Amino acid sequence: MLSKLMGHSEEIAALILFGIGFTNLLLNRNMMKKIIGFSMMDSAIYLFLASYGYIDGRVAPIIEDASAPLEVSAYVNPLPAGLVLTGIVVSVSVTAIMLALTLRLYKRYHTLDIDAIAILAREADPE
Amino acid sequence: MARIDWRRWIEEGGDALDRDMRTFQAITEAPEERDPFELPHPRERLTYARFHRWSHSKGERILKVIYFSLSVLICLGLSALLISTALDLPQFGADAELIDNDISTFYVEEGLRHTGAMNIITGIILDFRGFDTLGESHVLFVAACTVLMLLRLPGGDDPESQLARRRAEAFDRHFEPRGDVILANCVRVLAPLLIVFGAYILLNGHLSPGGGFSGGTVLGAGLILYLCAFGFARTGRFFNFKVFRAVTSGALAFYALSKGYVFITGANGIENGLGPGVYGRILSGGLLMPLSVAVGLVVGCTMYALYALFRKGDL
Amino acid sequence: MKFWQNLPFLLIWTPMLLSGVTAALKPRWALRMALFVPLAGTLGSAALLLECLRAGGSFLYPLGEFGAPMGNELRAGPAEALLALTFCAILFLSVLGGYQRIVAQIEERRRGLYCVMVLLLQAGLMAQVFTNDVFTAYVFIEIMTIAAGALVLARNRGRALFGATRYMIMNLLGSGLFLLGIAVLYCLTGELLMEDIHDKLVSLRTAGSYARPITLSVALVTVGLAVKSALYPFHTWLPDAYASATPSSSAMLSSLVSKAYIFLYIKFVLRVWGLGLFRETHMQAVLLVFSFLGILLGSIDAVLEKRLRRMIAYSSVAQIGYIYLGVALGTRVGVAAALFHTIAHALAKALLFISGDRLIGASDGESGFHELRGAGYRAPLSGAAFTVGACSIVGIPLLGGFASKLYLTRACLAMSAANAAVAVIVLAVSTALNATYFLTTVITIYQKPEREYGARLSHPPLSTAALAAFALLILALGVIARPAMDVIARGVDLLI
Repeated sequence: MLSKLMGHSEEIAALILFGIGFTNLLLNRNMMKKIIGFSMMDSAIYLFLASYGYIDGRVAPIIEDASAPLEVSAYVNPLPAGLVLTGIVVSVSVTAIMLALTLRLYKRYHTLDIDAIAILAREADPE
Repeated sequence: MARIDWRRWIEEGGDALDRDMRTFQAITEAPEERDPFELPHPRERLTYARFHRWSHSKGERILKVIYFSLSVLICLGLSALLISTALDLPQFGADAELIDNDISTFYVEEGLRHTGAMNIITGIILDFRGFDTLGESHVLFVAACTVLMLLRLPGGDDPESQLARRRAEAFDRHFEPRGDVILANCVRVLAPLLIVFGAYILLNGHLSPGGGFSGGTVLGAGLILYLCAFGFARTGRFFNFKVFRAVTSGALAFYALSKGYVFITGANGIENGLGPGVYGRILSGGLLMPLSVAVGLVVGCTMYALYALFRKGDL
Repeated sequence: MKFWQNLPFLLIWTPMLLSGVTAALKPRWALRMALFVPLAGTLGSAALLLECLRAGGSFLYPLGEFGAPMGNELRAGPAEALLALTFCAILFLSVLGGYQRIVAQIEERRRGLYCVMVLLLQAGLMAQVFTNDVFTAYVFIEIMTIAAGALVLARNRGRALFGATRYMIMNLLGSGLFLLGIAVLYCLTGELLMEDIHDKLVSLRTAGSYARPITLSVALVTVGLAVKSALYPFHTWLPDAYASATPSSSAMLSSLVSKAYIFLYIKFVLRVWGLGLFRETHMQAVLLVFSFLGILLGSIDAVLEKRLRRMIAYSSVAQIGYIYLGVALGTRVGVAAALFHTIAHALAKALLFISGDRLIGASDGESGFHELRGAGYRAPLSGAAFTVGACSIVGIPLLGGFASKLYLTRACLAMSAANAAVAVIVLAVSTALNATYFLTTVITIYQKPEREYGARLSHPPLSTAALAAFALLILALGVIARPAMDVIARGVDLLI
């Protein structure tokens, strides 16, 4: 059991981070902590994906000498790296938007607590 | 110690501050004060008071306990579920027979021949899976537009917008004082280096580790550092909102047009005339290098714009 | 490859290309762009639908000279083309119908960006409809999420900001789960194209290995897309976002964005997992329960709601329950009925949001029901359009909603006797509830007003024509229900 756990250490770390991030995004009342949770959740998925692209003893898929490339089995799978690269940019964009929204909400309601904002929004701003 | 006279700042504009360095000093040393213009409207104070009472009530305490226990439960439950399932997956670092299939072999084996990219990953994201990357640069674009929508100050000549702009200017000078000699001298050395390094990463994206996104962020970091040291007035001389809009729109349009050309010719079996070139040269790999530069420009400009919008609400 | 087969790619690519141009235009021209591009999309997808029907099949469109599975791939057939046509037409009519309100409620400096969001939303919708690659679906889901959030917060009000925040939080949770789901799928199969994943999953299943991870990935994708399309227990973000946005945005969110996620889910069910795996993992049973809950509790929420726009929003929760019910049956007939209901509901809900807002506008901006009395006389055309939309959702014969409920009931009857009985009872109760709240509203707007109301807003004539077009489309869908269903059924057969 322990060896099995150790063999999956990378994924387990990623999935624990995912759990923490997910819970923070869902249940933390502080907007900033929600955003931190979101970043953790997304990074955890990228860690998970990247860990599956890694194979012991192989090198990054960058060919150093075009005239004499290494054989195919010397390189790791390049696709997860490409997917992670795409995903990171997406999560950066979303983080920026969430931070901007939080800034505006704070300026309007003077609090970061989403429950407080909910009460204030219903009372102070009728539709 | 002098009290901060926000009203005077805002009425007279930021230039009055530059002339009066003593006031400036007083402000940087003064304790932080709440912005008088953002205090709640009297009508709303009642609501705030009610909320304040609620936040100390019994119901609130119970809610906190519920939130906490739910969080612990969900966090542990979700992680345990995911981990117990992940244990069934292949081991980390082992030869993954599942995902090491003909596709990844094809990328490594034929990627160089097809795209001319020594860096296979660049070849994948800009060529094989270029459609995803096209979508992804539009995610950045849509994010920049949304932040502009949220944070950009009104540009009109009416008194209200002028007031808002002056207030932002005053705040910026208060919280990000200029004239730090150490910072300015460091940036004089660092900013050009960063920008040259960013350009190097962009231009070599298909040959070495790096590419549009990493290079773009380094470029953006150089611009942000310059802004930190010298302020908006000086950065605005070469990088203002118009430049941002022109560069971003232009780079995105170039990206979309060239990808459209490649996809349509590719799908219809027309020769597109973009060979891989001589491997390892900087001008090889067809459109990879120009595409890297376009992506890099979008990323760099967006990073800088996000920073500027968060800091002052304008470029 | 024939020229018309480039249409799916052009439908995605053109709005993306023009969005950058629109950002640099003046607001007046940007608004015209936001009308023109969806209109062009409507024409393009109509042409695609005609050609697909004439060719009688579906086709794959490789992106790049290498083609799939090295690169991305699009796929188009009758079902996709019909969905694309519906989405583009509704997008165009929503912008046109809410034109006056966009101008009134969104400040000039934000209006250009609002139009950029409309175009990117169109690109995202088209990509969801046509993509054959799960990771492309994820990237465009994010574009749609952000663009839709921006459409809500474009109206610069505290309430809209709050609505957008709740919308974003729940949708980010959904995207995270969806992404983890496709990451697990990728780890299991090493493929990203839908039918390749399907083939690998079939061979893994026959070998009997990795049963738990497969179930997990199915569950993650299901929950992720259910959160994003507001299936019942995950619907809490919906009323705030829909009720606080400008009416065009509410119409787009309720009838396009959530429907695109549902269509993507249908593609996962049919093309990635296959109906067999969908049933085996018991996801079907779970969805069935949640859709029943959504149908009943969403309707009850709507009955209890005292304000018009929130009531329409809650009614969406119930209607999304109907669509998921069709999917959860796990049969081709059920999926076809779900797609038909998607189209019928999308048309009716967009019409309800836009005409409902006009009725509110004719009642001094008050949305409580007692203030709406006589709104049907003050804004006769909007009142008539609202009546048509409401009747369609309730299921009055000759309208689209009637046919869709009929097909849905018929599909439910194919289940085992006990389940079918439950389903029919749920549908009957919910139709009664629908009738309660919608017909009450229709009666209210034609009652005698209690007081005098101020002058109402004037709308451009073309914008009013959009309401008539919506009503006609709903009527047309009811009249040509059988041919439309034939097209959908053929599309569903080709999807598998």
